[in-house]
Amino acid sequence: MEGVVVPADESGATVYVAKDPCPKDNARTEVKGLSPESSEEVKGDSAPHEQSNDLVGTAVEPGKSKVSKIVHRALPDHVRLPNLSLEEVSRSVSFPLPNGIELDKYGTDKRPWMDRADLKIELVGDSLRITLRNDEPGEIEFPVFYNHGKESLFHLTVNPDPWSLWTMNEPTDDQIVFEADKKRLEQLHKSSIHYEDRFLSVAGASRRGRSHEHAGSFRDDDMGYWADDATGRYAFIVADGAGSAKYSREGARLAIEYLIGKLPANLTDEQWSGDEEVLRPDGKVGRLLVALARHAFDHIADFVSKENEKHPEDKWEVRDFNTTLLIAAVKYDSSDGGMRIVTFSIGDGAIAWYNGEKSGLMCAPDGGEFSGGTRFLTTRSVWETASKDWSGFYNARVFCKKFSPEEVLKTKLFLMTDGVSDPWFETDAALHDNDAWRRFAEETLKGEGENQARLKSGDSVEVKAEKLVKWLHFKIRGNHDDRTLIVVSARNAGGGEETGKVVCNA
Amino acid sequence: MRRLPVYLLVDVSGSMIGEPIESVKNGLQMLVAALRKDPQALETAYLSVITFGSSAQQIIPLTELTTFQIPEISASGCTVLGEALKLVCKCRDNEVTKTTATQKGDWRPMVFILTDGVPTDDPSEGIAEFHARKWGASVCCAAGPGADKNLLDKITPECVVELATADQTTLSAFFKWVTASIVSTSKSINESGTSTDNINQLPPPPPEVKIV
Repeated sequence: MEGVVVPADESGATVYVAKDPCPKDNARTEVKGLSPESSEEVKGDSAPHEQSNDLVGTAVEPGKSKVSKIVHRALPDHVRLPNLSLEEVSRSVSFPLPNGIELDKYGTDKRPWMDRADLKIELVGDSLRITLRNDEPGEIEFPVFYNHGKESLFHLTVNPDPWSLWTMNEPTDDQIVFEADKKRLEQLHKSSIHYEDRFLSVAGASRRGRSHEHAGSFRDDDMGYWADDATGRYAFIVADGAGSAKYSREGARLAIEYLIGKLPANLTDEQWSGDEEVLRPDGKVGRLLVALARHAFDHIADFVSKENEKHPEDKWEVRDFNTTLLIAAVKYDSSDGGMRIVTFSIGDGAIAWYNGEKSGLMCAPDGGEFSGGTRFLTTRSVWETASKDWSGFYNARVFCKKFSPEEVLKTKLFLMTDGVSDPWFETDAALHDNDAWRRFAEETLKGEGENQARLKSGDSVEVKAEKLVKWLHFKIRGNHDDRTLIVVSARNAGGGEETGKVVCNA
Repeated sequence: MRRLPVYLLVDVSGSMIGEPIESVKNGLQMLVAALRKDPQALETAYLSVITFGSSAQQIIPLTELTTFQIPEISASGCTVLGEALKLVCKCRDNEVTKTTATQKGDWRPMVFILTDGVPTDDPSEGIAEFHARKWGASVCCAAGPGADKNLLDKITPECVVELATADQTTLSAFFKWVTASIVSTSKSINESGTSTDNINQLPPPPPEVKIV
């Protein structure tokens, strides 16, 4: 007889049932001398285990003349127990013994099953409780002796703690392809940025995903920023190299390096002048960001063809360098304390603001499409399509917003790759949901719990960046991509003197 | 969380009695044990087993690997492959979550169909229903010379593999390859957010498993 263990009810208790509910003749043993009419089958409650085969018999207890009736129930030869998991919560399993089953506790040669190095098996009330004693996942089999000499083989599957299966591996020498890879090795697992001036404070972190740690590959996410304290001009960029593209890390880096190099000279005060000409998707700043991104694509394509000339055998393709791009240009207007933000993005991830009450998504994520058809900065067809309808392209991909001085102080700007937006927002609907952003800003980033970042308002930007790096290793099942987040917040007006510093960090 | 559903359709007709069916059970045991050791497969892959003999039955609904238990399988009767195809479509419709604005759906299910004979029912309706749905990488396996490879090619065009015999060695090789395919697909999902929809994106099969 084969038996399976099935959940008995919602409470999670389990019982076994014989696979074949019809008792076979040979499983029914009647002790000689007992007439069938006088045998009494115990019909208890209707729990599934009552379907198991009964052994009905009588026994004369030694030294007594009284005949008492004993009901034996046979356990199947094989009993499969519910799988156990090595996570702390579920290292032991109990299941009720059917009526009439008596464990053989006293047979000297049968005692060992009660206490093994890897398991402890005990009788608690009417249940058998099995507790694991070591960390070995796999299949365990052990006999259970009962009713004076009968035996069933119990099978138990022990699952590993899923988090224990992830390994940490480093790229091997042959994976070092680019000059930047050497520097990348120093910041392989994580990197952070922090910046503060009289207007803004910025903390950002990037961390290699578990899937890359496991595979021993590089982090493909990258980030960069440019800040000009004198004029209140800033740009923040995150880029997510495509996991399917072998050199995407370099694509992300090249894009950011190019843009951070070009922005200071191009994103001038003149570009920012006049709200009307700035605060629309096809405004001056929006058009500039798109033009620079287009040039970044050309820059990557040029790099690839030049490298191919040097190493014709490599046959690199631009799509090997596929990367997303999310860029936010910020202008702090020191005259009135207001702030304008213009964003442009291609690919998944998110740029959004949150002011303690409302949120605004400043990108159109591509990730919602089921086909996995994320578009990239480096997708030629994106630019071919755009060139047929620039106005449509600006309208779809450029977002603008002006914040009044009062709003500025309450508002935070977030840029994140999908390694952060997927686990915390999951769907496009959530990215548009004020409450989802409230939870992210107030609970996820400020909370003290597991998987929360513990940011405090009094923390310095250095401390915030450190906390973000640490937090980015959060454990959420099914989310193991590289993770990058930049948080930009305004400081109280007059938060410091003009330093005149210009910082480029790519 | 987006699951990677995997449907295993196993022929349990009379011709599978003995070594073939025992090998399938062993293969399944090995597959599950191996997938449990891979963090990405353990998290993502959900398994269902559908058997088809005189009737098609989903003996294990789509189940997380941590709770999956090897089913008892016994062979007898004919080969209702058409019914099995209809059943896997029905299971897919019921079990696989669709993507909507407010929820992230599952990945496209992978399907592996193992048969050693010719269907005893008319599979045309089942094939039409199967083709009306989108699947991830799906493969038919002709286990031994008795299987109808041309028919299998209609179910999963250009995704048919062949085993010379349905014995322990070849079936074990097949299940190892299925395991590797599930592992590589869950890796691809994790690392690049794309699933594999074609046999060419799966790991190359071992010598015992020939692509037809």
